[in-house]
Amino acid sequence: MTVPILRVRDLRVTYRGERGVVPAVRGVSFELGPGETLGLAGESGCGKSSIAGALLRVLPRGTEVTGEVLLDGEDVLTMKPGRLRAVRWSEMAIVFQGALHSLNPVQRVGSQIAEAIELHQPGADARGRVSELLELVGLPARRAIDYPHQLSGGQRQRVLIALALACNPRVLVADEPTTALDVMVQAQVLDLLQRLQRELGLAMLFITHDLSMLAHVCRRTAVMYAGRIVEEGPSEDVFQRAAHPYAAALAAAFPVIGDPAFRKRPVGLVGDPPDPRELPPGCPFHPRCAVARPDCDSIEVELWPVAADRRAACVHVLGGPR
Amino acid sequence: MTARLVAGKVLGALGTLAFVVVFNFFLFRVVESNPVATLYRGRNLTDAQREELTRQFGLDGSKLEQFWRYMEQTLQLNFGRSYATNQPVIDEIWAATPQTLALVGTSTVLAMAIGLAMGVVAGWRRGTAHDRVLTGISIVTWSTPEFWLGMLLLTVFAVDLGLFPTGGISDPSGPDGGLGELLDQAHHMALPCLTLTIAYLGEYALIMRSSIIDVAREDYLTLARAKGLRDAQVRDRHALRNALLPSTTLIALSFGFVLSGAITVETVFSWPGLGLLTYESLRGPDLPMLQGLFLLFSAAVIVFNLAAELLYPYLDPRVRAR
Ligand SMILES: Nc1ncnc2c1ncn2[C@@H]1O[C@H](COP(=O)(O)OP(=O)(O)OP(=O)(O)O)[C@@H](O)[C@H]1O
Ligand SMILES: [Mg+2]
Repeated sequence: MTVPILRVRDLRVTYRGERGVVPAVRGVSFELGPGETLGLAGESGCGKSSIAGALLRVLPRGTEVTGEVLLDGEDVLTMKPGRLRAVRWSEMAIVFQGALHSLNPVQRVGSQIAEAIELHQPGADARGRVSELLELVGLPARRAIDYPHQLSGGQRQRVLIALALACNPRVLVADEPTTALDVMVQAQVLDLLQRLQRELGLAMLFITHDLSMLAHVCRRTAVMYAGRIVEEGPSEDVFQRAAHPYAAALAAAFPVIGDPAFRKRPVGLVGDPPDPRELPPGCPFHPRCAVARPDCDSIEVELWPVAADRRAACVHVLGGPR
Repeated sequence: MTARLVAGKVLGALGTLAFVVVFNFFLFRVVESNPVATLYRGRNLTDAQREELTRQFGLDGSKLEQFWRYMEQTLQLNFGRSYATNQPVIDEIWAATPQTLALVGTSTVLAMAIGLAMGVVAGWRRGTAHDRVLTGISIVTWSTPEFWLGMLLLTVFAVDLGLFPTGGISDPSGPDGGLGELLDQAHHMALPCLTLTIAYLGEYALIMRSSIIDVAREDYLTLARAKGLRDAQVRDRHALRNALLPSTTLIALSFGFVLSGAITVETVFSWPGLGLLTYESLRGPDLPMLQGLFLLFSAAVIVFNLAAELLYPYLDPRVRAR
């Protein structure tokens, strides 16, 4: 692997608010090289968006974020405010979850895009660039004068993508960019993101709860459970031969239609993901785990190599691949 | 907004106004069925005199005849003559209006500017010392009775310190005409204006604070911050306008109360405006005067409410589209 452009080390996010202390991310590490794609999968509430927010430090005030987020070797978490504002969007941009609410309802979409350009590239031809960006994501340039409510869900998602690309970032974080869309539009947006990622050579962190999607989009995939990565490796391997029982269950929850291998495997995910404030002792997955051992409620295993470029955090892995 | 919608809203306002006019007729006939007897209590009137007075007050004939005469006169802005001064009601009202507009208009604009700014700062920094102090001030001023505050300021600044006149609108021995007279009037207006400004600003501050807090959770603010905008830019460019939307109607309505808003304060400071006129008419009771005043006050509220509804679409593109 080349020198990583984004290197996250032992990232922890703890919310402190009306709902008490919520340890949403509990020690996450990963690396992303230039032009690489990494998928981040896991059920709702496992901490995916918390990671995205921590990368640019846009989580609510009072949230405790520790660890390191090294962007080109520089730690975002300890940057001075001025430097942080300069890095935001020009080095790393986020396509936020929920296209419906991420755009300011009383501002034309074109000026929301132009605002970012004017901020980071003063003197640039912002209007021309807005037209360019809209056409890049497959929207007519005249859509710039529309307000968000005048666009469909898919069009708004395209605007968000255009907005994220406005300042030519090298790292793009896409947080469930297709979740709220219907299937046809999902496929279009996914194609668009993939094409742009390749053409622009973006390093992309792609967040979703649908593991099967990552098999197409990302070279590598990390599966999260209760604020930790429980398995990481090449997407194909994670999807088809998961070492961690949770990753296996997640893969089975989104079977590839027509693939016989998935018909035999039980869709073994019962119950709800745990509340991060009251995690079960030991491995937080053990109450839902079909292959839990008696000692699973007392030990939480670190990520452990399964193969040359694969790691998983499960007692079964400690004794070699299952 | 389409012409049809505008027409609909204007018609709606006219309908409300018509209702108020009719209601006014009955209200004052129910309150006082025989004002001649009340006003001339203890005086010996001949039957001829009594009939003449009854006719003058427009109280002769059947109720239906009275109603039609009332409607006809009201449409011509003829509200009859004051019981107290025997002058046309409309003349007295016009004479008192400029003073009230000056006093309450100035106070409302000041209170709005200060109060909204306080609310924005408090809400944006919710839970901080700033917020606690500003919200404390708002609640105290909001719950302070106007007349009590007026008397307090009057006692301290006018009576004890002698910095301001104790009442009225001008010094009889002061300069006549020109800038000198204007300054003298401003000097007289200072204390009542201060009283009203303090009394009003708390409400604006509290309304704005809660709107800002609602808006502060929105995803588009997270996106604005992630773009690299400064905190104040996020607040002023993205939060403010969205937070103002729900307050527009309330703010417009508060302008509607400008004319009727200062009964107690005008009385405390003997400020010769509509408030003082109302107070004096209530003591009579001077029914035609009250009838005219109530109609004017209601009309002001209706007009500003209409103005808010017509203005709103220009602030919120989502409403404009409909
Ligand atoms: N502002 C907040 N204050 C307190 N807790 C929060 C806050 N935001 C998120 N959480 C909690 O942190 C945990 C992780 O949330 P996060 O949004 O990162 O999950 P996610 O994996 O993105 O889920 P989803 O798939 O639903 O988007 C959840 O339990 C959530 O309830
Ligand atoms: Mg999320």
